[in-house]
Amino acid sequence: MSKQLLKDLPELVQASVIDEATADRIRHHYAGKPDLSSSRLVIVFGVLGALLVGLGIILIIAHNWDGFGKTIKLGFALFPLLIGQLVCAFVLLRRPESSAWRESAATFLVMAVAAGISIVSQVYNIEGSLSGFLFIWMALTLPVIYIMRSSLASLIYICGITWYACELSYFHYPNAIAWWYWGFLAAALPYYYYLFTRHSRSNFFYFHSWLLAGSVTCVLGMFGDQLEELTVFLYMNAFAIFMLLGQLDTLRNNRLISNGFLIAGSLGTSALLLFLSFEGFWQEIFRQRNEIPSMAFNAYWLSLAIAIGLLILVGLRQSLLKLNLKSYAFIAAFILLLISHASPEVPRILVNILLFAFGVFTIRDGAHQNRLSILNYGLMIISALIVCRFFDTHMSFVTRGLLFVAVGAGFFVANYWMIRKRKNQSA
Amino acid sequence: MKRVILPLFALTCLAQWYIPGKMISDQEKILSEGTTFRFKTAPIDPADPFRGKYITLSFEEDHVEVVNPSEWQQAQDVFVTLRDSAGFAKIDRVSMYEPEGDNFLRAKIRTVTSYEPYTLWLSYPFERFYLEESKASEAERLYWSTQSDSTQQVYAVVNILKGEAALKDVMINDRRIADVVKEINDRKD
Repeated sequence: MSKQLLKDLPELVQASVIDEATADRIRHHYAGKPDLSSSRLVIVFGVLGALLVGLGIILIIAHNWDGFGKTIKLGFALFPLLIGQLVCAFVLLRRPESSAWRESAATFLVMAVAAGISIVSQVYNIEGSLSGFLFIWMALTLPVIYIMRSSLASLIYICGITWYACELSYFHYPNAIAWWYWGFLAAALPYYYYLFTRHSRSNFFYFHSWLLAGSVTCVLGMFGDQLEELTVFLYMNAFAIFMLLGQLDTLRNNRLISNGFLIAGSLGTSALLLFLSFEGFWQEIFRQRNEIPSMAFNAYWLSLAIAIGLLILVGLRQSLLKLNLKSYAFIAAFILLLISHASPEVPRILVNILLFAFGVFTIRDGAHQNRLSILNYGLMIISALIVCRFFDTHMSFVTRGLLFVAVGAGFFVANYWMIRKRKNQSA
Repeated sequence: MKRVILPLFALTCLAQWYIPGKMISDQEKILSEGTTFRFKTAPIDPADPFRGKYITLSFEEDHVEVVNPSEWQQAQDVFVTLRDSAGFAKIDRVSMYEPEGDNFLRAKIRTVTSYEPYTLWLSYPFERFYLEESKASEAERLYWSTQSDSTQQVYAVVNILKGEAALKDVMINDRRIADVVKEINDRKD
């Protein structure tokens, strides 16, 4: 941005937009600033290099050189670990403030740990389970995040624990609840908080927001075997937590695309409500109403408590009325769950009304904030609701056709109106 | 800050050496102190993203008949006591509790058949044998050719010590599978 501005200075002076003295002052201002883009490039290439070398070593080792003896193979296996640790020690002692050095060294060490454990397993034909391997790898990665203050190690860690939980809860038979995942996740949160307080405008912070939201969304289904239909309500609470986190000032003031929590929370809530708008779901809930919930239901209560606590916290900081309406969806879902024990019909109708209201409010938000993306998102919610109703209602083709024409016209009118409004403003 | 970070880093390094170190020492102990058994096998050839190419071994001696199938559950850990019969491992008995002696290994129940004869199918902790990338496919091909030839004998050499096992090698007619494949590859060249 600054480089482009500096390039344009002579043109601006020539066109008499600014005078030579102002141009000099602008040049002077940027000359005193450190060049962030080049240091960012050094970090990117350093980390990429460390990651590629680490992966390369794993692949070379995976070849399994039969010609070498056991001792040589073990030496090759553990040599990268030694190098990684020595480089990290050097960085801690001599280059502790260079993020390029810290990120690269930590990434290499994390990969070297994986290579070391893998090759020892290979040499001795230790079968082991993939989840067991990931568990140990991530446990040994955790301290590296904090000692090296490495964001990439932290991102690898979040991916690793997600894989571990999926392996144990989805891919492995018989399935188990990966309780350790939550401990691992809690251990990663102080680093996220560090980024939140100190580097909230860095790309690493944005990636963390997205990955954390993605990770929890991926693994929450681990309770599915025990909670069955009730898992949906657990997800509803989780998405509410995401949305509330996404509305904290630090996250809200950044670009929308960087706010993984808000986007994931909002999309998730809308998708779940669409799912809840079908008849079959509520009939199943009604059928199960007398069954005693399993121990895993405590996870639901805990998530509900966190969501309510966060709602109060964020509400006190800002105003409860200013919050995105979808942040309250979890309370509505809880009330609907209670109602469903008396009648499965009422919640279904209420969900349809609720979703329609969310659509309308989202369109209003888009108009207020002058954002086409949000406006169209609201229209998409209403369209999706109408499409879903095509499957389980008995409307005539004419009515359905008219509804579609209405929504299509709505898309056209709303976008046209917004673009004209923007043009008028810029004129 | 360095006063805290550096000792923490030293501890982390130690932990990062402890895990592979413990794996190595445990395996070496089984190899040096354990009893050697030979298991008749049937390998196939998949790959592992971290550890490379391996052949999967299945064993002839991997099931045992039981009286009451409801006592046993899928994925349950069991202890398999072994004995030698004509040079190959035979299951003596399977128990839910750790037996006396050294010649037993910890295995998992793969399935339990619900019709007579009620049978426990076992899964052993040494069903992967890692080979050099270029040899794994050839080893698999070789295995299948030996299966149709009753004069060929394929077996795994496994050391057992108090429940733990270490897979030493896979042999075809008393020759290492890696050597047999190498010879075939050399002949092709």
